[in-house]
Amino acid sequence: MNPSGIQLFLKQNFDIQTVMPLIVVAATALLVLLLEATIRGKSRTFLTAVSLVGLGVALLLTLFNFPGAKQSSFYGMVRTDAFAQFFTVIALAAGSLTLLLSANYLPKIKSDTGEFHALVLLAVCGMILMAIGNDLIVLFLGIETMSIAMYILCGIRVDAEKSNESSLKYLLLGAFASAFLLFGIALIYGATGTTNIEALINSGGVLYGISGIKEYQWDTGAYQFAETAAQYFFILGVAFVFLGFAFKIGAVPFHMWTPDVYQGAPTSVTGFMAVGVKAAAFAALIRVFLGIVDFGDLYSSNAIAYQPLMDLKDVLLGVIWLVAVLTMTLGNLSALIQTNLKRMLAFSSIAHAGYALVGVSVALRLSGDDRDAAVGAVMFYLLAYMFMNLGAFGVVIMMNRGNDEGEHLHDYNGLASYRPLVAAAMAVFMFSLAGIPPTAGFVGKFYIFSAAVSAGTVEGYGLYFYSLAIIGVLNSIISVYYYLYPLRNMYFVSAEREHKVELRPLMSASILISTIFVLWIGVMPKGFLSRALEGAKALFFG
Amino acid sequence: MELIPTNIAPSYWLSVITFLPLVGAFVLLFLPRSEKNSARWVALLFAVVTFLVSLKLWFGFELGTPQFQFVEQCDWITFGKWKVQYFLGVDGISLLIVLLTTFLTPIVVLSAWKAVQEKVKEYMIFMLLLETAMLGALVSLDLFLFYVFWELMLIPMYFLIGIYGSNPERRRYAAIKFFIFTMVGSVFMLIGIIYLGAKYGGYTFSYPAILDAGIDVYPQMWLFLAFAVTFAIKVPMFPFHTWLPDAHTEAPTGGSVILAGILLKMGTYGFVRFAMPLFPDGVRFFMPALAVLAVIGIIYGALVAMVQPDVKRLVAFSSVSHLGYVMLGLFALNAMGVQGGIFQMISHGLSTGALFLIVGMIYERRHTRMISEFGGLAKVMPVFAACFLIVTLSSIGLPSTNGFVGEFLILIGAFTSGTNGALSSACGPGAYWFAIIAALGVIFGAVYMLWMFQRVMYGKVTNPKNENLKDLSLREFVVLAPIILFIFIMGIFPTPFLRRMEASVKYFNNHYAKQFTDVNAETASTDAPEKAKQAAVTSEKPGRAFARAREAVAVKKDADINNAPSRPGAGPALKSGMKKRAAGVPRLPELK
Repeated sequence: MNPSGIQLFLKQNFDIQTVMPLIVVAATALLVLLLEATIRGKSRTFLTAVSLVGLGVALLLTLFNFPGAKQSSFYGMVRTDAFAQFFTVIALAAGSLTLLLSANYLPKIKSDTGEFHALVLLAVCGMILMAIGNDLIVLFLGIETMSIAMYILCGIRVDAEKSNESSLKYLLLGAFASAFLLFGIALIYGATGTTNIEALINSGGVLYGISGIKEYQWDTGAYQFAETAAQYFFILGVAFVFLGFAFKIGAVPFHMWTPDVYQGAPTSVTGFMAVGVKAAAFAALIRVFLGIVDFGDLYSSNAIAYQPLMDLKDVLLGVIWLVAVLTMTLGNLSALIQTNLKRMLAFSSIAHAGYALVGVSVALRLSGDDRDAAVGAVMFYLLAYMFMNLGAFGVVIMMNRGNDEGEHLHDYNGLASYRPLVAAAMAVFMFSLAGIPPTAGFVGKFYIFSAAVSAGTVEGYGLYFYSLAIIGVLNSIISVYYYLYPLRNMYFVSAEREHKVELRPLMSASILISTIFVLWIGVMPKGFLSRALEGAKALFFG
Repeated sequence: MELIPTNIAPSYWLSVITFLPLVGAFVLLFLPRSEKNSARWVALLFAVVTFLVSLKLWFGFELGTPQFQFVEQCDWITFGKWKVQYFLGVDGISLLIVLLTTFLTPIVVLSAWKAVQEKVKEYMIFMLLLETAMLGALVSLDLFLFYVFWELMLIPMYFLIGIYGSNPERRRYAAIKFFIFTMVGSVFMLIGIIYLGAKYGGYTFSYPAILDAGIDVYPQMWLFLAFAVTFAIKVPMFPFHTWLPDAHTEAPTGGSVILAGILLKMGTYGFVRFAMPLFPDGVRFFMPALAVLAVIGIIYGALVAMVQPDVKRLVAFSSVSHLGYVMLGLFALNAMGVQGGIFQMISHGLSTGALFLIVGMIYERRHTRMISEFGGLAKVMPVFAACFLIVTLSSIGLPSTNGFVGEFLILIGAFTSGTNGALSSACGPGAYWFAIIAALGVIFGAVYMLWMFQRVMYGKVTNPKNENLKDLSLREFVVLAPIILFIFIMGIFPTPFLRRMEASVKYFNNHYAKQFTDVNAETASTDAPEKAKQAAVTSEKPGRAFARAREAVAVKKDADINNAPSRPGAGPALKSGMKKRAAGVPRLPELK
């Protein structure tokens, strides 16, 4: 074998460049652990700086040195297309902002451990894996890496009961969800004989199955591949995989864990969970489900298709439609009656998952450019949501006075009079979350709803999608009420006493960055939108 | 006719006017909080400069064309098929409201000189931000851009009411109510806008493109409803008006002036610009309901205003009544009614704005607005009394003031339209009663305004606290004088104002040629009263029109059957059978 052949072989299958950001982040995580052990007693700010440098390098690599479109490597295990790039950026940015927010917050809640940084970095690793994963096993690996880090992060306040409860709850329920996910993957593998998403789709829908699924043929007396059984297995597998993702997204009816876990976890972790975990789960969901949704159509052109598989698309659409509607409505209605801002944001994050699911359900129905637009809208929405939500959590962190104080809505009374800039930033985030222009949240919602409306005009599914859009906007009205509530307290109510709100540099920087991006994306969304669209276009095979 | 001139010379006037206040707000951001006076001066400077620049629109406006002028067009956001443009322009309809906005803002800034003592900088920032949002909404020709500015208006107004309102408990409620009410309507409009863009605009939101596309009749119905509810909440029309008195009563003086003067006009402007031209069939279908609501608004607003003990609340309810006139004028769909409606928007902006300023001036002195607290102020404050009287008379619509011109045109327009025009065609014979009942509202208007004026200003000074009130200061006089000047200018020489909107209004009315075919086109467009009278005499009763249309259909069917090419084998029997069936279609089966 000549050397150039080996090089080519390596290039095709072990291209380190494709996973470079991942390696950088993982290496930084290990380095941080080492540093923490060796230079004990030093300021944690140093660890923050090291982590940020690692994330920054990874971010630069992702932005400017990402392998070309549609490149898959490691025997098709990872795929570094523009879609993966987009979600990698979200994961890295979410991690960086979280670390910035935590720097001054951790000492306040007496959980200033070095592991925190490493765990955040490892969670980011998991998210990147989910973004670039092109194989169900890799996706599972990513989810687990991310989740295990998150379980610990939730409980990092060892002395706080709520934090422990949060961690345990998340672990137990998360383990269930992972089990379902894994079982679903196994079923899909059983039915199709592959776990590779690309192979799954390129198979043209023919179910090969593995040797186990055979049925006795009475007429010939031979064992043959059981096509019917395989199809049922496949559908069951799809359902279980959806369940696993729905849990991570926090979609109704798998949302029960969200409020308690979110409230109990340290606030910066809550923010990280609400944006990072969600975005990564959406990345995986989109990659898997948009690939297999046409399975029924493809299958029918190749072999005998049974009704369940033919109906897959409509059933999926119906299920996700219902889940989206329930998620939006329940999230918003529950947020309406909260008096704790952190808990309110937890419920609102459920609602936001619902808005993104609107886009997913539209994308499932559409094809071609329209599908790309719908997927791009979801991606853009998740990006916008990252900045506005982390910003809002940043303000909550800034108001924290140790323990759980400073999270109640009346703690915000009169904030505008003694901390006008913090109040203004919070106003920007709240308006953005409520979807009022000229903020990122408005543009995001606008394109999600326009995807729904244009799906209604293009297809014969008018009622489906118009109703989705209308339920969506009705939900935004509900949300306006509770998002205005902190504003009302900050601006219209005078403070009984002024709380000490320290403007620490790293924390302020994080909030400032979020504010700038929320406004920038709101006024000049062109560049961000085109990157999202590029990602959506890169997603589909063939 | 193309609404957009084909070769657009690059023009930046509208951008400059729209964003100059925003620049001012940005400059204010960097002033220290303690510098209250410089904040006031900076805001005033930017507001005045904006007004001066906007005069370019008045003088540079080309008469006699419905085309948009000072057009700016470029891409803003592209996303797949979707394209959002930065697309600005003014025509005869928006020009005057733009000028009203730039005219009122410096006055409002000046009026807050003494009244706002705390958070001055923020107040001025909100005011300038509000001006940008309003101007942007008025000059946007892209529906997305319009929606962005439309929603942006809510934010500063929300803060203005909530922070600077008078009663700490009520103002929070009023601010949130204002926000939610407006939001409820506008999200449905958002869905409508997206639908229009996707289906008719070719994935753009360009207003002229959608206007040209011609929207199918059935979607027009719900689209019109979505837009109309949004704008009706803003106007506010009768059943949607409940936010208005709360918002007005609680808002600070400047906020009330802007609210009454311009924000409410956004609702009526939305009707003229978007809801009505885009959906003519929707207008035709919903016209009876909306006209009735407009008339109810006129009478209801006036009656409720009559019993208000609070001057500011009284003026707020008078707005409901006055905007009912505007809506009635717009629905007349003839040159007089629509021109009167737009004219009334401007004059209501001036006179009601001035009334709120005056109420604010009393409030600054006495910290109460209850009518019963006053009496005999004319003796103590003679200059103030004169100004108040002029504004009151303008609000009533006394000849030689601006209020008269608007109301007169509207009533004539509505009457003409009600006897032989769009109103009678859509609502049946007797639609002229709308105009007659609305005219009753004028009387009620005189009653509540004059009665209030009498109780506040005349008689003996009963309350000792009123004995030593100071008359208008120079600043206050400077605030009121320009408005009073324009009250007379517009009342005595309305022609320059009417001429600027003439071509656009004519173009606006031509949208309905198809919907109201039974209306004499001559009457609808030229509107000479004699001709209207003639037409009224010669025209047949509306009931006949339908019968005639049915006959025409039957005749045409007969003709079709007779002209049908005879196929081999199709004997005369078949033909006569077809004829029988065709003849049977339009008639009800007879009872035997």
